[in-house]
Amino acid sequence: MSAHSAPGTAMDSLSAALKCNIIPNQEYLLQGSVLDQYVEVLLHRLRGLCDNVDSGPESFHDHELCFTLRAANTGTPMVLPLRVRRALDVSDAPFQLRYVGQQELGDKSRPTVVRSSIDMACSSTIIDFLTELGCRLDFEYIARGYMFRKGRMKITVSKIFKMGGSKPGEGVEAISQSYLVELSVLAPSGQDAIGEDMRIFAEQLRPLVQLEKIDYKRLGNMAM
Amino acid sequence: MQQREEKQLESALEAIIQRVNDLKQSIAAMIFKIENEYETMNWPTFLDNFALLSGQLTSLSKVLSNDKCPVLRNLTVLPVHLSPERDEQLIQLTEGRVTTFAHDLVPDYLRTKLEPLAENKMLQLEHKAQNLQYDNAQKQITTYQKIISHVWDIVSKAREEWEVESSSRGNAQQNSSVADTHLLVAAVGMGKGLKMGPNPNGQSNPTSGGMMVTPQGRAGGPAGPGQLPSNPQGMAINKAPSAIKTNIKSAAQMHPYGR
Amino acid sequence: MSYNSSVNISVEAPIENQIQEITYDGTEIYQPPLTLSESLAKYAQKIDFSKTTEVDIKKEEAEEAKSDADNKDALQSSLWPWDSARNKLRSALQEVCVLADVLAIAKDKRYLILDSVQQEPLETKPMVQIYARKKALQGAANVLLTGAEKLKTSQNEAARNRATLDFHIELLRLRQNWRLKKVSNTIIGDLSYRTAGSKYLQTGTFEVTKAEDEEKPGSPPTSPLPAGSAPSKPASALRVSIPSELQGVAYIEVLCQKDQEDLCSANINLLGSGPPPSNPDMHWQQKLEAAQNVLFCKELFNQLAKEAVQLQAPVPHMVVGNQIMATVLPGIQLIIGLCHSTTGDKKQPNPPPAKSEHDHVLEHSLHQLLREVHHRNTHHPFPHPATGPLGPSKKRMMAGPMAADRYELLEMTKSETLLEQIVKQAQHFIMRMRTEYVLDTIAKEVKDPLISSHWNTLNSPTQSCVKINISTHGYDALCRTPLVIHVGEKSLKCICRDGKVMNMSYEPQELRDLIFCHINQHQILAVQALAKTMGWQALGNSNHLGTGSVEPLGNASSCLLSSPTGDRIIAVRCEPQAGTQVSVAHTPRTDFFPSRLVTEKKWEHLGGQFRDVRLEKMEGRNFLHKMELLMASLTSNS
Repeated sequence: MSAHSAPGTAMDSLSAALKCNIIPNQEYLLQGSVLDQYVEVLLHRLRGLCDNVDSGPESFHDHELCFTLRAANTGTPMVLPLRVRRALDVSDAPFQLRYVGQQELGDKSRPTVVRSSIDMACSSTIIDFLTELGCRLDFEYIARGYMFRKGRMKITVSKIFKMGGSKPGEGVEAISQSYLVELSVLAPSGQDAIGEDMRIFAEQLRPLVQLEKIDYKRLGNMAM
Repeated sequence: MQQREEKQLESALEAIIQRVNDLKQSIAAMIFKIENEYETMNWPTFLDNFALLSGQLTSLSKVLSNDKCPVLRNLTVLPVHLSPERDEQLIQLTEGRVTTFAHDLVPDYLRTKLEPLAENKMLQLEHKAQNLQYDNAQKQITTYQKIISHVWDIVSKAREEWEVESSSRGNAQQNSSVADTHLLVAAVGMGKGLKMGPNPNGQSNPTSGGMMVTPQGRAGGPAGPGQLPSNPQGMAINKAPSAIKTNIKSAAQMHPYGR
Repeated sequence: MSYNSSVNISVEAPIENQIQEITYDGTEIYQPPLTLSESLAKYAQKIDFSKTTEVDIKKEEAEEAKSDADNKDALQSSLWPWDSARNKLRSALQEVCVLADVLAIAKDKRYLILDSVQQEPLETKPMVQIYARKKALQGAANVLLTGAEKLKTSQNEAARNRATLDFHIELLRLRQNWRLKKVSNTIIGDLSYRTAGSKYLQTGTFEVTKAEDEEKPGSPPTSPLPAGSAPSKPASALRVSIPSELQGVAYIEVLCQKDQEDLCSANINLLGSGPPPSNPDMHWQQKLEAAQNVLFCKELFNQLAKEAVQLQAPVPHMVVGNQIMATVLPGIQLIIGLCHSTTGDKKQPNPPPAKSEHDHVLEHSLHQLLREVHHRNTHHPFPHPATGPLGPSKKRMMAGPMAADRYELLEMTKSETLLEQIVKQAQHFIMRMRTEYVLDTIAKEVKDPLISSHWNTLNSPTQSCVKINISTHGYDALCRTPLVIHVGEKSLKCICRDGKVMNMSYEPQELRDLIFCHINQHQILAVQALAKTMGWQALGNSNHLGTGSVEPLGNASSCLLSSPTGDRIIAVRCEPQAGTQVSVAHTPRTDFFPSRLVTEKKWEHLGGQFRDVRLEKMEGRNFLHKMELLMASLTSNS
C-alpha cells in the first residue's frame, strides 16, 4: 500500500477524472446487418481494413442478460435498464455490467448514434446482487461472432441466438438469417470528431453492408 | 378496307420519310465534317459517323420490314401531272432541290436503274452465279447456311453470357436485408422477440428467419412469472450516474418481494 | 444547289462554275461539278434510255467529274486520304436525297402518287445473295483480323524487347513489397515502422521516379573498353530516392568489455570494420531495406539514449555521441553504439577498436525488444465479453472485480525499459560466462572426483540452469553428488544434494569455494558408501569437524571405518584445501606391553596408534580406488 497518500483521496481522484473528461462514458454507434451467405466476404474485407491483419479475427461467444429496475413511484414509472454480459468462451473473464442511456440520433449532420454508456467489470455475483436489488430479467440472448478493431473503433459481426429454455450452450436458435454488424467507439463526451471517422469507415463497407443510425425505439413502436 | 390500307400506307410512308431524312442529314453532316475537319479527324471519329449511318439504315430497314408496312412492291410511283412552272410548295418540300416537276426531271428521279458501280457489281455477281451448276449452287447454299447459323449460335451465346455477367455486376446485390437489420437491432436493443411471456405468439413479428417464441419458456427463472414487455413510450431513463444511485436507493426501499 | 441541312455548307468551288439559278432574293446557286445526277439529267435529256451506251457516258461523266476534281484548288486536294470516302458519301447523299424527294412528292400526291399494281413474284437469286454477303463478311473479317494481327505483333515486339524493364511491371513489384501512394504527380512511399506500431517521429518517406537512360561517360558504345568495365545500362526502370539521413547502412554494435581506464577517449567512431560501402547501382529493394534498417537502428538508439539519461542506476549510464555506456557488473561495461556508414565511405584506417567482439546475440535481442514494444503498441487485447472497452489489459480488467488496491494498480503501470532489459540480459550473459569458466577450470584442475556439468538446452535470456555431477571415475554407481545451479542476472542459486539452497553473488570465487566444499563432502560420502560395499562398518562421521587446524575454506569432514572383523580402523579426514588424510590403526595393539598402570592384557583391544597412510605412494587411480585397495588389504580372513 503506498504510504504517500491518504485513502480519502480516492474520491478526489475520481471526481478529478470526471472533471477532466477522461472517462469514456459515451458510445458512438452505427448498426447494420449482412446476410449469412455474404458474411465470409465481409469478414475478409474487415480483416484487410482493420488493424493487425496477421492475428486474424478474434471470435467471441457472449451471453447477455437485460435486467430492468422498476420504481413504481407515483407519477411516471421509472425504468432503469441494466445489462449484464459474460463471456462464455473465456472462463476467467469478468462479467460486464453496462448501463446504456437513451440514444440521441440528432439530425443529419450527426453521422452516428450517440448514447451514454457506462461499463464496469464485476464478479459473477452481480446477477444475484441485481436480483436482490429488485431487478427483473427482461430478456436474454447469446451473441456469437467476431470482432475487429481499427484504432479506437470496434467492429463486431455477430449472430444473435435465442435461449432455448435450458442453460446456455445447447438448444439455442438463431433469430434471423443475418449477422448483426455494429461499429462502436467508447469515448469521453465531447469528442464528436470520431463520428466522422466512423462514417468514413462505414463508407468503405458500403455495398456489402449499410451501417447507419437505427432507432430501435421507433422500430419497436412501429411494429407493435 | 380501302381506308384502312390507305391509313396504313400513310403512316408507313411517314415513318419511312422520317428515317430517310435522318439518314440524309447524317450523311450531309459527315461530308461537312470530312471537308472541314479533315486535319483533326481521326479514324475513331470517322468510324463513329459510319456507325451512325449504319444504325440509321438499320432502322430504316426495320421500318420497311415491319408488319404494319404494306408491301411496297405492289405500289408503283406514277407521275400524274407534269408542269414546267415553278412550284413554291415543291421547292419547300424538296428543300430547294426540285423547282419544277418537269418532264426532264421525271426520268432522272424515277429511274430504277442502279448506279454504275452498283450495277457493275450486280452484273459480276449474277454472271458468277449463272456459271454455277444447280447442284453446286445448292450445295454451296446449304454449306453457307450451316456456317452462318453456326457462327450465329456462337456469337449469340457469347452475347448472352456477357449480358448476364454485366447485368449481374450491375445489379445492386442484396447483401443485407433491411427487415433483418430492424429485427436484429430491435432484438438487441429492446428484446423484441426474445422475451418470454405468457402469450408471446401475438407479439412476435414474423419476419425472415422463422423464429418461434416458445410459450412458458422460463418457468422458475429468477425473475418470476408474468413479464410483459414494457411500453417503450413510457420509458424515461435517467442518465446521470448520481441518478442511478437514487434509483437504486428507492428500489431498495421497496420491499424486495413486493414487485 | 446547296444542301439546306442544318449547317450552311458553302461550296468552295471557284466561281467559274455555272450559275444554275438565281433565286428571287438574289442568291446565286452554283452547280457543284461533282453532282452526278444533275449533270446526268443534262445529258440524259439528250439520250435515249433504251440504249446501253449510257453506261459509257456515265463513266465519262465520272471521269470528267474526276478531272474536274483534279483542277480544284489545293484545299480540296489535301483531302486526299478522305477523298474516296467523301466521293462515295456524296453519291450516297444524292441517292438518298432523290429518294427523300420522291417520297415527299408522292406523299404530296400532286405530282406523284403511289398506285398499286399487280406485281409478279420476285425471283430470289440465292447464289447472288450468297456471293454478295460472303464478300461483305470477308471484308469485315479482314478488318478485324488485321487489327488483331497488329495487336499481337506489337505485343510480341514489346515482350521481346524486354531489355529495358518496363516501368510499370517494376512498379507493381515495388508495390507488392512497400506501401506507395500517389500524391499529385509523384509517387511517395513509406518505409517506416509506423504501421507496425512504432511511435518514432522521423518520417521514412521515399520517392519513386522513372530511371532515365544514363549517359555513357563519353566513350562510344562500339569501342571495346579496357578492363572489362562495361558501362552498365540501368538495371531497373525505376529509381528510389531516399532521404539523406537514411542513406547508407547502419547497425547497432553491442560490446561487453572490461573497464578501461580512459573511458572518455573510448573510440567514438566504431566504424572500424564497418559494413561494405553501398553500391549506387544497388537494386531498389536492397536500398529500401537498408534505409529501413537505418531508421530502425536510429529509433532503437534514440530510445536507449533517452532511457539512459532518465534512468537512475547505481553507476550512471553515459551517453557520448553515438555511444551509450552502461555498467553491467563492477568492472564490466556494456557499450551500445550506432554505426552508420553512408555511401562512398572507404574502410576506416583504424583497426577495430573493441577488445571483445561485437555481440550479435545482444544486438538481435535489442531488435527483438524494440519489435516487442511495437507489437504491444498495436496488439491490444480484445475485451471479452465483446462490449467491454478496448484497450485495458486483462489484468486491468480483473482489477475491478478482484479489488486491486492502489499499490497493485501502480505496479501494473510500471514496465521495464529497453535499457534495463538489455542490461539484464548482458548481466546474465556475463554470469553465464563466468559460471562456465569456473566450472571448466575446476573440471580441468580436479581430476580425482570428476566434475561434469550439463547445461539445460532451454533457457531464457535472463536465466539458465546447469546440473553438476561430482562422481569418481569407476565408482559412479556408488556415490554421486548432484548439484543444480540456477544462473540469474546478478546472482547464482545453488541447490545442494541435501536440499539446501545457497544464494551466491556474482563473484566467481564464491562458486569455486562452494564446489570445492562439495567435492570435499563427496569424498567422505563416497568413502562411506565404499565401506558399506566392502563390508566395513562406518563407526562415525562428522561433516564439520571441529578438531584440527582451522580450515581457510569451509570445514574439514571425517569418518571412521572399521573392518569386518574389527581389527583395523581407518580414519579419513577430508579438507577442502589440503586434500585427504588417511590413517590406519590396529586393534588389538601390536605393541601392547603391560606396564605398571595398565596391567591387564585386555586393554590391548583399545586400539593402537593411528599411522598415516602415504596415499601418494599407493597404487590406485583415484582416492576411492586407493581406499578400496587399502580396505581390501586390511581385511583379514580370520
